[in-house]
Amino acid sequence: MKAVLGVAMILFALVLAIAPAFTDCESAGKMVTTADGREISMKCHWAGAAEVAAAIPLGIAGIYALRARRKETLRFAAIVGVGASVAAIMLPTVIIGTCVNPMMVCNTLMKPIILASGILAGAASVALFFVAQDEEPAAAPVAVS
Amino acid sequence: MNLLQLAWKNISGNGLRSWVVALCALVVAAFALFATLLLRGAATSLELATDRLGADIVVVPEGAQTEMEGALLMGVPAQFWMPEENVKKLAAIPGVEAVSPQVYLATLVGASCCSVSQMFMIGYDPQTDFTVRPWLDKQLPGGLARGEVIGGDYISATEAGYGILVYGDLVTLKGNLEPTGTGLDQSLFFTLETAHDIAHISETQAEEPLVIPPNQVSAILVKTKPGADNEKIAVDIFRNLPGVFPIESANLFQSSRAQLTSLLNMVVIVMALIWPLAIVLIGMIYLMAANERRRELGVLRALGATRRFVAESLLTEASLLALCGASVGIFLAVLAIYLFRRLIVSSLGVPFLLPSPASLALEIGIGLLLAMLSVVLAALLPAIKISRQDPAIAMRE
Repeated sequence: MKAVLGVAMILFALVLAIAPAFTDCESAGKMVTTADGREISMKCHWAGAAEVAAAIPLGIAGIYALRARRKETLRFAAIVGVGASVAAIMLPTVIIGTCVNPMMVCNTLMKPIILASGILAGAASVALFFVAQDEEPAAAPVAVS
Repeated sequence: MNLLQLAWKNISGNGLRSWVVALCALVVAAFALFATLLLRGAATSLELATDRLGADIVVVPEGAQTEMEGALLMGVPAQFWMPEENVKKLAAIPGVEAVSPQVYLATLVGASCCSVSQMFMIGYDPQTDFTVRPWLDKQLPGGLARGEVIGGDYISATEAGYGILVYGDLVTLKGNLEPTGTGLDQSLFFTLETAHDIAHISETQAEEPLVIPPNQVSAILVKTKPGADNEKIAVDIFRNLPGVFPIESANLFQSSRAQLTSLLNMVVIVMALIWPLAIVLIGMIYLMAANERRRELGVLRALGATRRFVAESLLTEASLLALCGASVGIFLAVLAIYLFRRLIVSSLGVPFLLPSPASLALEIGIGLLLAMLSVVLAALLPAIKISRQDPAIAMRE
């Protein structure tokens, strides 16, 4: 079970890291033109780029879920996973946000993909926390004479 | 050990079988709920848009029917014109109670003089209007003054002081209308006076001027007298006014209604394939499981378990799996429809409105029931068959 959850966490981390690059407004050729004629990225682009910061710890937590055997390690990976998922959800909704027009591609595609991945990654992390209880306990310290 | 504990032990002891059964329940529940929410959401949205329009007949220039439906339903800006004198001609037709003209405009694309690109805008005549005013009465009993606008649910102020820049004119957003799930949610409403003010200011302030042809309107909304035959009045309009096309409110959004019907047909076909397949698959899995567990269930019978207890243990196991799978499926369906509703709207070309919490709860309940019914129905025959076997024979095999 923990292997399934670990693979799911890694997959969601990959989606969070890669999908925004192809689904933000900049990928659709939309940028803001300043008064001096320069073209700059819209804020959805920065929200998408920041997702990498949430995806890396989530991916590492997923790898730990696959490899680790100790209950404590798995629980720690689960907590990291929940934290990264919450961060992934908050980046396009609270921390940075997306474009104002709700029908722009960042709001119709990028944000839903991030939110869905974040929610499912969070659910997988919570499940990992409870699955970790069934794993073998930490080895008892060996007395050295 | 009670029935539930026994069922749970069986589920955790047969991982693969349990996963497959739960997955079948998940697919049935998720698809049924997703399709129901989508179709009901689209139908509700269409009804709400027709109601909000408030007119019995909408008169547009001939050939502009599709453009008008696209604008009202999907917010795709449209501009078409017909002579304003048609308003008086329409008012003279027997059975017509009230007529009100509207002009349809759109903001420029990627221009700094417009806060929002390609926004659909509706200018109405406050003297004769009977469609916009009823919604405004709740929020703005005095109506809209010059330079004031009201937006659909998606519209928000982009400049300081609730301002929105339209063709270089800073108009004030006085409020938002309730969501309809249609293009009206992305539209801006103002009086004809404000529309002409914007057109005047745009000549000097905008990258391109807003042109409202003199003595022209885009559409005329018609309210008929109570008990009048709308179809007869529409025919009269078509015969007496050349160059216009009357659309009865019942016939509005025909293309979307046709789209919805074809979607419904597709869902029925897919459901007709998925549902029996899932029942047959689960039935086969339980038939195999029942054969594998002959000895185990024989021992249970030898220990004093009744036939009814054996059958009930299998059905409880099936119900638990159905409940778990269907719950996950329902969660995924609701998540997908909630998050991707705007993508669905733009991809399928049908409007969509999220259901009320009570309606959603009812649909979730039906989805759960459907999934559980499917699994229990599939497991019923194997459960009865195995409960009837002789324990002595079963244990010897």
